[in-house]
Amino acid sequence: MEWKIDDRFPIWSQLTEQLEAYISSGGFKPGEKLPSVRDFASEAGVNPNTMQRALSELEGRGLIVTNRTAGRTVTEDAERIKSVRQGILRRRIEDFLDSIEELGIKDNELESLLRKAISERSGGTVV
Amino acid sequence: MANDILSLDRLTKRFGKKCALEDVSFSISGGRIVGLLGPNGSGKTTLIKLANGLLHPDGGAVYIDGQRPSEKTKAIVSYLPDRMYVADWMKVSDLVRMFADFYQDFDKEKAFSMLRSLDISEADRMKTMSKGTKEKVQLVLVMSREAMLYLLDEPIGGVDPAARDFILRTILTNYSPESAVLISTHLISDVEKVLDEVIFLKEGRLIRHENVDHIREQEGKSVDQLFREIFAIGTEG
Amino acid sequence: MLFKLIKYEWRAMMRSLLPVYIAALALSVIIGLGSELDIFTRLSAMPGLGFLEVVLTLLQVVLVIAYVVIIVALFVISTIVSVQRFYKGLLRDEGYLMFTLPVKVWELTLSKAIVSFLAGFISIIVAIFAIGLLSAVDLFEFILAIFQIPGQLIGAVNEALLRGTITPADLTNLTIFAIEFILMAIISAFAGIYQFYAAMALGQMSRKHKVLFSVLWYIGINIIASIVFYAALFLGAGTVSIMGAFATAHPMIAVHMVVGAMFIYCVINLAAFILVTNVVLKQRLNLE
Repeated sequence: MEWKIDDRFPIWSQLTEQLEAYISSGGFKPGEKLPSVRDFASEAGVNPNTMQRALSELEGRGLIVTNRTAGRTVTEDAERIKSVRQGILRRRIEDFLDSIEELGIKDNELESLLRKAISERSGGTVV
Repeated sequence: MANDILSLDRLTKRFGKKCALEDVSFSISGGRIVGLLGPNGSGKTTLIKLANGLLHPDGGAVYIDGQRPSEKTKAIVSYLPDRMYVADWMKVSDLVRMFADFYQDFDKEKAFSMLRSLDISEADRMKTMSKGTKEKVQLVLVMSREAMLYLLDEPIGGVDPAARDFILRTILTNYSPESAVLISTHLISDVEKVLDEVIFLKEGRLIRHENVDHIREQEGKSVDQLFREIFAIGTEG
Repeated sequence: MLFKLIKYEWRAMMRSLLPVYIAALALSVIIGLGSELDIFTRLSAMPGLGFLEVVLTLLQVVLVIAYVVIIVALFVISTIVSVQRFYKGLLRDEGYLMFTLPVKVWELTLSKAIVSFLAGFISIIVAIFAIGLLSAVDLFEFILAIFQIPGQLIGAVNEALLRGTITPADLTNLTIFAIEFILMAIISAFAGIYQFYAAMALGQMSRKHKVLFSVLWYIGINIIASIVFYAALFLGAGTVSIMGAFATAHPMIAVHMVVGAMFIYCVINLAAFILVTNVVLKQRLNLE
């Protein structure tokens, strides 16, 4: 997977977010075994302790389970993954709405603009 | 603390009237990768030399795994100096053999495989190599040990970005919860992601010793940005 | 670990000295061959070439001088290389590696001293061979002659014993002297090597002009050593004469006392230089 670390936020929280998005979008299947912390860390080019912290955070959110025999795996709980995905989507939509709020846009105007943008995208526009 | 791999206790070193290090104390425990940051002349190299017993302190002490530097601590410390420290008439294979001869924790196979991945022929003499290649050979020698403490003085200073990447990756794949790594550098943006903690040295004094994510949480900026502010360095360069 | 250090030091040392040895032997062969074939005399005897005589004699003299220079150079170079091996190998950049190897300081210095001693010994052997080659005798004859020396010596001693020119007691004394002198030669050689080391160890403590300070320390150590020597000589001689032992002693015993005293002086010298070198490098290493 691709990793992007910027300057402003703690590295562990950026790793957590990116892993969360990757898992909930199906990058890792439910029940799939995850690479070791060390492999994960060197793949991302980050400190292993930082990666460890991100993984523990995801464990706390119920996305990852640590199994004594199998090591770390993605949870088999599909509902959990789904709800995490919903959560991410909701957060991003909130952020988006916050960012255009000051323009004083009406609900129906927003709706039609969104439809237009979506149809333009799927209409073969270069992404 | 028994868990401390490297511990400095009020370490002081003077060169003539100039104080190269003044009253520096800190500890590094196992499993930590720590950046020793500061501009040139801030005392980074002096600190590392003191930890290796190449210089002797004028005050305070260095402890490695609880002991003063001696031939016992040298067996568990892997040191990358800021210069070429091998005889230039030797071949790469001679050096690998020499390191294997003296350091019990040296892994020959690891060394040869690292050399291969860097496209360095073991039959080459140091004399015939470019400066960058020589530095890579030294790094391979140093990182092929299973040491308890790695003291790396400016490992990414003079090398190209690809080699820089290789070095940082090597440090990460070499990670062990039992060993600690101290990297001195003034190129912070490149190493920041790899570090647990950073130690800022300014004119021989320790001015900050903190967790990298702590700094980002508290200051809302990267260690690199903070460093540039503290040492008043422009963003370009 | 000491053996490993010696192994690496030996390789490094021979890299510098082997070419010098080969050059010395080769030049001896050339000069030797020249006089063997009597080129100079023959050339000058040739009709019409008599005027060359002066030039050729001159050339011969030059070649002999060249030979002397080679022999002297052999010893000067091996001394310089020994000093340089210590300075460059321990007190400059390579010292960063040597002093971070898990070995004791005395092992580092001793390995270098042993190899320097061996190099000096080889220089002597090369010089002897160079003389053999120069004097244009058959090399095998020459080697044979060297190996015959001990046998001839034993033969001569046996004959003298039979004739009664020397007594068995004399022989014992001679043997003791021989052993004492050989040991003393070895000890003084090491003392000479460690005197250089001690001076460099003390010199590297300075911040600047480390080489200059090493030279000054060397001179200083020399002065101190001679003061100690003469003090010991006068004190020792004084004590002995007061005791009257020297005057009344059997001449042989008197000689033994003198040789014994010299022996002890050499040992103390060596011990002092070793101590200074190792303690300074252990406690006050200063690789700035």
